Amino acid sequence: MSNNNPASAKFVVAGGFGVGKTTLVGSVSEIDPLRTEASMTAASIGVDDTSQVQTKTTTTVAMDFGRITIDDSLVLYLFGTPGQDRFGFMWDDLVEGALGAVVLVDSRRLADSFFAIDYFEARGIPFVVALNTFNAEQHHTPEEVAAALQLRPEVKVLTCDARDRRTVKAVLLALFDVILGRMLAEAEHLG
Amino acid sequence: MSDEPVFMEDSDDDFIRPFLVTAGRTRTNLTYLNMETMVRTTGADPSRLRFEASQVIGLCRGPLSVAEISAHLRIPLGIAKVLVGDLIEDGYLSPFKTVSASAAADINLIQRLAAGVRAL
Ligand SMILES: Nc1nc2c(ncn2[C@@H]2O[C@H](COP(=O)(O)OP(=O)(O)O)[C@@H](O)[C@H]2O)c(=O)[nH]1
Ligand SMILES: [Mg+2]
Repeated sequence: MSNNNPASAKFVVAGGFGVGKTTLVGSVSEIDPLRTEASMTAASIGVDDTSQVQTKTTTTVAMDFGRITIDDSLVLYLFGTPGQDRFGFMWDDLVEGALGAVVLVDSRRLADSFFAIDYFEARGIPFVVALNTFNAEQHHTPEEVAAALQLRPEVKVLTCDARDRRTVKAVLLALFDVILGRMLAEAEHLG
Repeated sequence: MSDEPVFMEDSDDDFIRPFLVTAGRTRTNLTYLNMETMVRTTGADPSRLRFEASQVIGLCRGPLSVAEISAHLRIPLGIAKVLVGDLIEDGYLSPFKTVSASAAADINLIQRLAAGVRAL
């Protein structure tokens, strides 16, 4: 360890169930994706609300995450969000503090990504759209997907193979470009 | 593996446990504490601590994120946050910085992150 205090950052990887989030995280993580649980019961019961302690049903959403150690004082975590939009109310806690997001898309099931795109757009969180190719089974181009999703022209859409570190790296670097571009523009605006 | 939500019928055991370790609380006061925030032990004598609290201390000799603590100890994320928050407030753990895209001063850190990913 150096004397430097460590710092950490977070990207989130969102998208529908089965779109390849866990695979993508595993492709760049130095550890096998770790799994944790976010429990709806824990999130929804207030401190003083003892009446609800009687509740018997807990909704538990598993999420997995990976880690990229940049150097001895810098770590990037990648978190896959729970895929279902009906758990969107849990996202605030999960996304809080994220530098940016990857919305992973299967072009055969575009509607699965609407929630994530709306979510990040509404909150001004930088994101890129990554089209998982599934062995070139995808029949749509990034341009077609951007049009179908009615993305703003500045939103980058890339193709990737979630199993291939090289293409996943390219997606992450595109996201860094968006984040840094935005920061530089803001610095210029202020300066 | 599936990340489909699981609707669990809790056994009483499972259900009660989180409320014991956090005394029923589900939120930490420390608003800066995110799931990616890393913490490390301060060196304060942990012999008074019990159960999960002492396990957290055992894990955090080196910097570790709240999410990793949650995964290693198999406790839900929300509970891990409360636990870690308590241990920070009681002086057993110190938290480290999370990089923010809204802080202009963090741009160098973000450039370092990008360079690190490029070098993978
Ligand atoms: N052929 C192919 N299969 C993939 C690709 N990405 C993911 N898969 C498979 O699709 C399934 C779902 O992937 P997973 O990462 O678990 O999706 P998640 O639910 O979004 O986390 C798994 O069986 C993966 O092996 C890909 O790019 N190509
Ligand atoms: Mg998954």
